[in-house]
Amino acid sequence: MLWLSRRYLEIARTVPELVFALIFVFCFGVGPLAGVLAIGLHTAGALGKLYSEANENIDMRPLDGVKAAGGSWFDQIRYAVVPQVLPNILSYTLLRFEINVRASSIIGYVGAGGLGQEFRTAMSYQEYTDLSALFVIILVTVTVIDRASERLRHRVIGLEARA
Amino acid sequence: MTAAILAFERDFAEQRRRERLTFAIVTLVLVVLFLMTAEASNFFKITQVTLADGSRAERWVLGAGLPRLGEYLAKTIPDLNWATLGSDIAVWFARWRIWAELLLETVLIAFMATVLGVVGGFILSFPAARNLAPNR
Repeated sequence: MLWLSRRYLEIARTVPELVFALIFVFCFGVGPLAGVLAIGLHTAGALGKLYSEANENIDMRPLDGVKAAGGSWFDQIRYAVVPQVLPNILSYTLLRFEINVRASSIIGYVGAGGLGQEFRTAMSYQEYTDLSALFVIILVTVTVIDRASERLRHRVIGLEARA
Repeated sequence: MTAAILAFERDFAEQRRRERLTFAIVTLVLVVLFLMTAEASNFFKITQVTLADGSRAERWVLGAGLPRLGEYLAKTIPDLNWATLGSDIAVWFARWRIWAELLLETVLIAFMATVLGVVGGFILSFPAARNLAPNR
């Protein structure tokens, strides 16, 4: 079980998004669906590793408590593990969302939807000023998302401190 | 007493000698690796360039190529003038309608992919954690 899930996550995150995107564009045709699947698969691999490392650093005593009260493996995960790792999971997820915005703006280069196709047209028609305009757009978007996720994270941390 | 001190000094010198040997070996290996990498990545490649007076000369690729980095970037900078700033920006972002649509699509792709990744990663993270994996 450990071996199987680890190898799966490794495969999912070692193969670059662009390769997945190429494969999925071949299967499902040009469009956002291929991009979503490609980035989603890669994200699952990367986040699975980070989450599982967060899981390995938890306090094991609550698990014993749930088990002593007659809880199953799922009960242990739900009531002893998840509450401990939730803040970590949230911050990793928000970081990953930011990375994915960048990834999905590149992935259009192979026809998987998003701004990347404009990059491709701009490069092949040598519209150099379009490139800088697109760069400005992506920079602004990533900055906005960064600020929003920081605010969200602080709100959640604030909730933790009050509770 | 002096025997103990002498023994300590001898061991210390022995240890120092071993450490220096390790350091030398590691340094040698790193230098060899660096040279191999440099060779593989054409770091030391020689190329021909045309000088300002029209004559040809041989230069390292890095030295010949670095100025062209700025050349490419300079091409991407739009023609903005303070007097006609509004219309210049309008020209620069002439395709903004298409871009706005694609930007929305990009963010939505990222969002859906994150959701998919979180679901997959979350489920698999428990069997993949060494302390939580069932039936070990």
